[in-house]
Amino acid sequence: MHNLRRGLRNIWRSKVRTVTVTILVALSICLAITMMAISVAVDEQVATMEASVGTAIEIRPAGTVGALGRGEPLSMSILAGLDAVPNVVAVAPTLVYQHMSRFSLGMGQRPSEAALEEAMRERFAIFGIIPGQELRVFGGGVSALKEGRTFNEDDDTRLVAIVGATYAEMRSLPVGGTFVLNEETIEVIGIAEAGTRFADQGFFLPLSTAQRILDMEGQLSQVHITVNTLPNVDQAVADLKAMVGDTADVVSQKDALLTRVGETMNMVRGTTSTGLWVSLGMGGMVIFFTMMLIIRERQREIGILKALGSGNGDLVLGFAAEALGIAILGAVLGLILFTTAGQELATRVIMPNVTAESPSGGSGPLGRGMMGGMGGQMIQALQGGQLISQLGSITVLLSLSLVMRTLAAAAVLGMLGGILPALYALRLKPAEVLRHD
Amino acid sequence: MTNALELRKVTKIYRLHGQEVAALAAVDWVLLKGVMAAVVGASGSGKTTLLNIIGGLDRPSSGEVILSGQPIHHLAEGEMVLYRRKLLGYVFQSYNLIPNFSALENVELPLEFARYPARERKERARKCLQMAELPENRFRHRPAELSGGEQQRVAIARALANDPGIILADEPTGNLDSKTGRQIINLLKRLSKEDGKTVIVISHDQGVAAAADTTAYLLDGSISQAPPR
Ligand SMILES: Nc1ncnc2c1ncn2[C@@H]1O[C@H](COP(=O)(O)OP(=O)(O)OP(=O)(O)O)[C@@H](O)[C@H]1O
Ligand SMILES: [Mg+2]
Repeated sequence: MHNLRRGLRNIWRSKVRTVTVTILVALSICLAITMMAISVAVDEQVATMEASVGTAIEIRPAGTVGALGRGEPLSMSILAGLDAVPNVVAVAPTLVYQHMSRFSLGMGQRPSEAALEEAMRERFAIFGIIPGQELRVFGGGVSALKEGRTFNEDDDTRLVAIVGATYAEMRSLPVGGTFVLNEETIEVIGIAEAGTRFADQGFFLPLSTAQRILDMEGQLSQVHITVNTLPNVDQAVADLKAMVGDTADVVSQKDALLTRVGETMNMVRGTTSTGLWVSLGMGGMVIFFTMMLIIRERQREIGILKALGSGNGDLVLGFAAEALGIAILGAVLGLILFTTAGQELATRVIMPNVTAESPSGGSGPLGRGMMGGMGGQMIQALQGGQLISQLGSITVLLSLSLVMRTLAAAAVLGMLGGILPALYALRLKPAEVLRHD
Repeated sequence: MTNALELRKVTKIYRLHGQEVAALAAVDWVLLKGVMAAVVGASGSGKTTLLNIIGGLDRPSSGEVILSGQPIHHLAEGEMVLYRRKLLGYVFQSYNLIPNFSALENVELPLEFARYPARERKERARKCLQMAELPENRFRHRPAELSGGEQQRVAIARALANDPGIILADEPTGNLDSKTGRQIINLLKRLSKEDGKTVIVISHDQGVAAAADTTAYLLDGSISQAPPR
């Protein structure tokens, strides 16, 4: 006990040095906490994402994994037997068509803001869905009906539409109004909203109607499949793959998310674990060199303590306590620093990883016509981009376990930083250190 | 009466840049218990080396060191610590008090290393400071707040703390004026007379030799009982 007390009292012998060293240790500990907090936050975020993507599986044209993902559209025949696959609870085939804007660019020409905006306004998406099913939009979301009604069984071949909120607004279309598509007049029976520009700037048609008007008879862009529980997803993917063979790709949203987010995750993990070790190493070095300095400074005193009967254990304990005290002071100040600057620091650490990896998000649809072969790829990109930007905006929190881990890390630093120099102190010969005044 | 100290053919050789320097050459010396001995000699004659070897702070190159009948020259560092705690007290020329500890705490220090219980430690530390005649109102002062003489009293009290048989003082008056120096020597002398301590004092001061029961003269590492001519 007296050794610990002596060690702790020694911390105040040189206040300026103690304050300086504490600040240095605090800075590195603050960095270390930030790294730990980031990885905790990112893990939590990924867990939340995984839970939220749920049990969806997509069947999309083969070869859509590539960058542009052009593939032959799926044929209706692919649907045969899908609902008989074990654990599959819903099968929703969709046709997606992106109306091309007339906007075009010469080589090396930069579009003006106004021209870009005009192009954005002109484009719209058409979603062909089976009446009675959810208003599933491209990108994994579902539109909610705001006004009017949704499709019923009788609408299957009729010229009726549920339009997106933006589309309705831009063209002043009320429920009951009509518009013309490929020389056919279509009646608006409902208005729906998904909250994304892409989905709301388009409309839903019954699948058969869409196929006929767009001259895409028998074609599908994707099939959205829902499985009953998350643990069954992998088995269902395997079963579906066996059924569709080479004609289409089968990807669960869970896997799509993980492939997309995985790379970013690995970069973030790499950065944080490197950062953690580097900052802890820095803190340890600061303590180590400070203790070395202190011991060299107090050589004579060490000789006196030995003459007064101090054993090796007494000396080591004393210095360990001193180093530990400095480390804990640093940790406490580091925690305070973290609560004030941790979020800012975390954002700075994580942002370069995230933006470097962020995909071009929603820019894909611009200037592309036929969407048939691109569905899955786009979903992946949109969703991944959204999720990755979520990763970039994580909130780091100081949990009790983080505080405990910080204190434990500081304790280890203090021990190592104190005991190694103390071992050097043990080797000092009293007769030699006492000789020099 | 048992011998407090016996040195037999104690030699200390330092090797420096391939040169061998004999700081002590076959020193034989016997001291009875309760004696105050002075060690006198020119600078570099080996006085500090001798004291360090007696005090177990250094080891002889050859020869035997026997304290209260116990040979200590062959002891390992770990065992030597126990002897320092029980048998030996040190007083240095430059006091060597711990600067951030009060007088009382400085005296408690060797008692802490000897694992005395707190209560006993405090009592004993007070008693030693009283024996060293430090005024009570200085007990809580730090070394920087004490005069040289007062600091040396604290150092003597600290040397007394473990109730050692032998007190070793290396030029304890070297930094003090002659009056204060005399008081310190008288204090050491009284400790040997009244408490039966064996006291070995190194000094350049003739007054110290006069106060001592016996004087050893060192000349280039050799000891003699008669002053060198
Ligand atoms: N560690 C060492 N290495 C080499 N030589 C040493 C060492 N320690 C002491 N000596 C030499 O041994 C001799 C005796 O030294 P010592 O310190 O015992 O003398 P001293 O009588 O105490 O002198 P002073 O009165 O100046 O204190 C000196 O010549 C010194 O240079
Ligand atoms: Mg000397």
